[in-house]
Amino acid sequence: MSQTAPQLTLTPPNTRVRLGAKKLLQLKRSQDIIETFAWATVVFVAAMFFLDGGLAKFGNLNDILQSTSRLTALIGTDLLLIHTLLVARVPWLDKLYGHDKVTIAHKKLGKPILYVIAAHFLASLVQFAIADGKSLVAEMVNLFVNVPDMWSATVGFVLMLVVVVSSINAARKKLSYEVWYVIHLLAYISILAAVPHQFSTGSDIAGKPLQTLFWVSLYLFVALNVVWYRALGPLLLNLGLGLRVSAVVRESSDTISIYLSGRGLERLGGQAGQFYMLRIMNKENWDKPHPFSISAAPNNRFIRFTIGDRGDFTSQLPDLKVGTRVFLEGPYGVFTEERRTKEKVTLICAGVGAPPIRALAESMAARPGDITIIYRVRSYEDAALLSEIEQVARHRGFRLHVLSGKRGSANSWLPGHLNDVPDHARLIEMNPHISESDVYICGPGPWTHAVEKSLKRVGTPATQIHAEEFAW
Amino acid sequence: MRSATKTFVGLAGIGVLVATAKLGLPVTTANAATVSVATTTDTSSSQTATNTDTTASTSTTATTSTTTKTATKTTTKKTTKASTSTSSGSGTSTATPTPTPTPTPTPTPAAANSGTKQGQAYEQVFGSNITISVTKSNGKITEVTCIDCNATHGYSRAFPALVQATLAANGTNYGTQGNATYTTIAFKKAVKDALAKF
Repeated sequence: MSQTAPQLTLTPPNTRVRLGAKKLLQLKRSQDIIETFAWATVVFVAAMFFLDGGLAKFGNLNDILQSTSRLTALIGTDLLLIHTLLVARVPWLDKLYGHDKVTIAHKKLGKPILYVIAAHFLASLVQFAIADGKSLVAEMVNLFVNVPDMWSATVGFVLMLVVVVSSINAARKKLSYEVWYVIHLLAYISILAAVPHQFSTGSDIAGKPLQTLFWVSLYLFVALNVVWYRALGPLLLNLGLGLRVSAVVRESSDTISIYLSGRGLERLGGQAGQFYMLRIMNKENWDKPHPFSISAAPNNRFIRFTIGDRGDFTSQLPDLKVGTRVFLEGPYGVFTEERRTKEKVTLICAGVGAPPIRALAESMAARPGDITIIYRVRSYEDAALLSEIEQVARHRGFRLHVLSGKRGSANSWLPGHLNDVPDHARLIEMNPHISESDVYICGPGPWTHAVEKSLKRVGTPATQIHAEEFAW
Repeated sequence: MRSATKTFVGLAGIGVLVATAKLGLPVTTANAATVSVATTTDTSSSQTATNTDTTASTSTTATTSTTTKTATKTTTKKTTKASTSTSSGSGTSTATPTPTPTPTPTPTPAAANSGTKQGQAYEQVFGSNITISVTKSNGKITEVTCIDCNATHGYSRAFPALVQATLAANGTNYGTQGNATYTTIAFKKAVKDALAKF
């Protein structure tokens, strides 16, 4: 471990931030536009199928199967491409929804898409088998051998099954992240393998100019977003930045800070409260990205992550050598001042949640007294970054409440010795303006929910509560 | 999404779907008519198809189906498509293959791009032969005639649609017609075979 941390100099606050409810309205409007567009693609493919007379072809079993096969293929593929876009980490989605919400939407879509595609597969197979008077197995062989591109589509479907099965909760618990990740990469092959049969054998694209235009542009749009934002963009940026570990510093009994330096750090363009996927580029860790929030406002001298010892990966970080190459992907998240609408702000954190709160406190422009910081810790020795938070608070005239001590009642987010009055009463006591301030909460899940409950009781509107859930 | 937007988008979406479904229906009744016409012409083939091997030759020309199509069709997009194909189709019905649209004054390749050629393909799954002839005039396909078009399991009904699709696409850039994937593949092969001879 090296102790050569750069001298702490506070970055001047970001004075360009806009406040007010108009910002919120604009955000909602943008979200509505994006979602309308997404739904419009689904309506479009179904509408074009109907225009083609698809609805009338439900006369006999053969037609019902064929029409079902076509409609499920159209809707399933459309949703699959949206599903892929949701995981491409595109900044324009991240900015509107936050990485957590986008990832949750991606997870939710996974299984339904498989069902729709499976319906397409089965309807096609059964329809062919009935029409040809063959057994399902014989027909499968037949399709595989005799119909152009059907073999690759079948391979794609099998790969999709593998990907979804490996992602259901029971399997996720048994698989290591690395194995799951490699399996998940098969999804890209699965999607590509299914493309040819849509154009060569399908009834809905070939020879129909509007549909051809739609599908080709949708495929290209998603592919470009995935290739650029998921692979090429981060790679080029990192090659340019040449980030290396410049110092590793112990912050508390179980927390360390990693400082990174490189060329032209402003190109990363992050904000306080955001996080990056961190890849330590050594033999053991280059393929294991981990998400960490920056713990100091962005500046041109260094990027700092403050990391608690929580598992296999984090426990080896104190031994990290100075000069080790590091790749960053990001920045991600909307736990930032972008979401601030009020002049008064309350920053609440517990334990591991301190780093983004520390960065936000540093970068938020406010008059003395406008910002209240509540820091919940088990004990003062465990309180990472406490001296820095104290320094920021003193310098800028923010109020700081450090709540140290063991947990009291099960439903309380406060230490036991403060449980004599309800949590929300204590919250008003710490900040009388709590209902008219923006509240940023960062801490473990159940604790965050307890804080949110208290906030609702004191009347802070949900739109003013900002908490990022950890979901990757 | 805000609830007001959700309601609006939901209603608009349902509206579009209902409208397109309604627009789509008359087209299919027209299609049903052509299919019935097709079956009348194909009854001989399906009857002979049961006798297998004995190659029954059914000639389903473009004209028989197109004339019935225009009779039933009224509105929608497909009508324009059908009417364009009928213009070329009716051109053949007047026996003289002089197409009404007479652009493309390309002199020398015109000779190479006109004429009638035959194409053949073997349909692997059901084991039948398909022989068609393609007539081209100034590079445009003006007539497709089934010389020997066979398909078992009633798939012969797809041939009129395939002829139409070939005329409309002026080639083989179209998807599966009339639920007949294998037949479509074989038919396209036959057309390609014929086109390769020009």
